[in-house]
Amino acid sequence: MGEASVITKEMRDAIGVEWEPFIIQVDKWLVKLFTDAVGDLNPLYLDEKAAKKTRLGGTVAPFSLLNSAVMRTEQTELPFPMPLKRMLAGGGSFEFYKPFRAGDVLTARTKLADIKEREGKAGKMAFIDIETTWTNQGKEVVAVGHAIRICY
Amino acid sequence: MAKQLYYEDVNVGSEITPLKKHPTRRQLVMWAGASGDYYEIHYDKEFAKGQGLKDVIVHGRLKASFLMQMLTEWIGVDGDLYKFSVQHRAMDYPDEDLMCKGKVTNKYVKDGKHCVDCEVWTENPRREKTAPATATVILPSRA
Repeated sequence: MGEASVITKEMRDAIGVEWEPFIIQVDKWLVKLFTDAVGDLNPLYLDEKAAKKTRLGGTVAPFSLLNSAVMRTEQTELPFPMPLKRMLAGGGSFEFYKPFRAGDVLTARTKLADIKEREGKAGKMAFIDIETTWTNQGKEVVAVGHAIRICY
Repeated sequence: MAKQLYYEDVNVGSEITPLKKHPTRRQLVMWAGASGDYYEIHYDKEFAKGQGLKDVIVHGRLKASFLMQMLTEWIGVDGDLYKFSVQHRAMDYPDEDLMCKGKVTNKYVKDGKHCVDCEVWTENPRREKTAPATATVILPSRA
């Protein structure tokens, strides 16, 4: 029919493999790095006096901070040889369960959740789904995210 | 802070307050530093041209963060962002206006939470919807 599948046996066998857990010490510096980079100066993140009056009881970190942390954890090597040399970030998703703030320590556990093959203009592509679960120091799940890496 | 949005204030088709962003080259560098995404395609013009692009491109995750900013501003301090899912469908370049837009697609109560589903996207000056996304927010209710 067409070319052979780009998904090798090694890739299939790697589904479920976990990377080393990654620790994120959330502090005011990290929050500010983020709010400045996005240009999101929401008082909830930066104004302790204003944030204290809300149900959150104080400033929190923007959830979109996890957009960065996903990159840090998934920048480690893929656990299999990848013959397709070009790579793009395809997108991703999150479910947010709890707020987190400066002083919290998050543990990111990342695993290879799935690999799917899709047909594109450039031929067959591998869609690699990398799932991360963030828990806080109280072992509560703060968020779960999926990052799709497209190799082609 | 802005007036709080309530579940009763929105309906299917309601527009989400748009957010205009204008990512500069410097902002892409700031995002690279904050996020740890140092892929040259976002700050090295020669590298980007070598990849067949006319210029460096905006990080997909930065665009996702813009959309999340639009949502968190719209829902106010008593709203919660619950789910967010985005596709990095097309490229955007720095030094252009990038509009974040969206609308409500559904509203329902689930497990006692007042949920509102939304369709959101980034739109560039060529009217391309470059990062289509969906989200679910939880709003306070007056009931």
